Amino acid sequence: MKKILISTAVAAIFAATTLFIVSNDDSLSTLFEDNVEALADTESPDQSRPLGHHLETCGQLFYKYGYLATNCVNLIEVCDRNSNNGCNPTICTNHK
Amino acid sequence: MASCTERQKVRTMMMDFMKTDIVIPDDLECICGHEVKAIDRDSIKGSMFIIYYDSLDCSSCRIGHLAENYPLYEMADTSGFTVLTIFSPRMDDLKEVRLQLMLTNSPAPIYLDVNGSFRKRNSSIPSDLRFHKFYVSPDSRPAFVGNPLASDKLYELFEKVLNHSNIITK
Repeated sequence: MKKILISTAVAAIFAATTLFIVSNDDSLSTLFEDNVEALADTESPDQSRPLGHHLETCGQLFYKYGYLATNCVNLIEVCDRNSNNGCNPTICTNHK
Repeated sequence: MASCTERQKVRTMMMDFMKTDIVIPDDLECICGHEVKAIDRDSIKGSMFIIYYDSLDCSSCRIGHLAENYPLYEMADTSGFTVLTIFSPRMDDLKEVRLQLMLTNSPAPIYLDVNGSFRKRNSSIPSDLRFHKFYVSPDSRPAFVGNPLASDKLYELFEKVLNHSNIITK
């Protein structure tokens, strides 16, 4: 009788542990799949990534007009606000 | 709604990315307000949320919009993780980016990858911009990918990941 009780208790503990591990894994895999879906639904990288040349454009403008720090920062902000993907050289030049 | 192909592409990239460890090198420079300091390792223990601007990004443009990430810092304060905003500009642009960050005087520390070590040691980070904002659990593995501020779906999911992460930690 004692043996049966012990083996039943061991089996119950094993089952509970397995259930915990399985449900834990399940919740992790659900989170992963939800993350895949949510990320895939976000804006395409091609639309959101500024082009490489914008970096040079910003840099060139900074050096060209950046002798006054405050003006320089304002200039960059104006550049950024007026274009979708970074600096627009025409607007920056006009602003100056 | 994303296509099946797009979803499969993201799934494969995420699976590969989440298998790798994220390394925070010791040579990152910390721009704290107007000051430049060495990285304080003690302040970035545990889980982290990484915001990564690589060398292809327009750093000047991103610096002008740093405030958009502040809600994440607020979330970090209440949820107990650290936000690391890391700029890894081209060597030619380093001085300029450092100066701009100092002028910006951000209330939160911003990290500068002065030797490109972060970029080199974390080459597993895909070039896809959607993978440049991610949460790293204390085991150094990415546990969530995306910008929680980009959509309600991502925000709610990030909260679930944080809860899950806290349960595991406790």
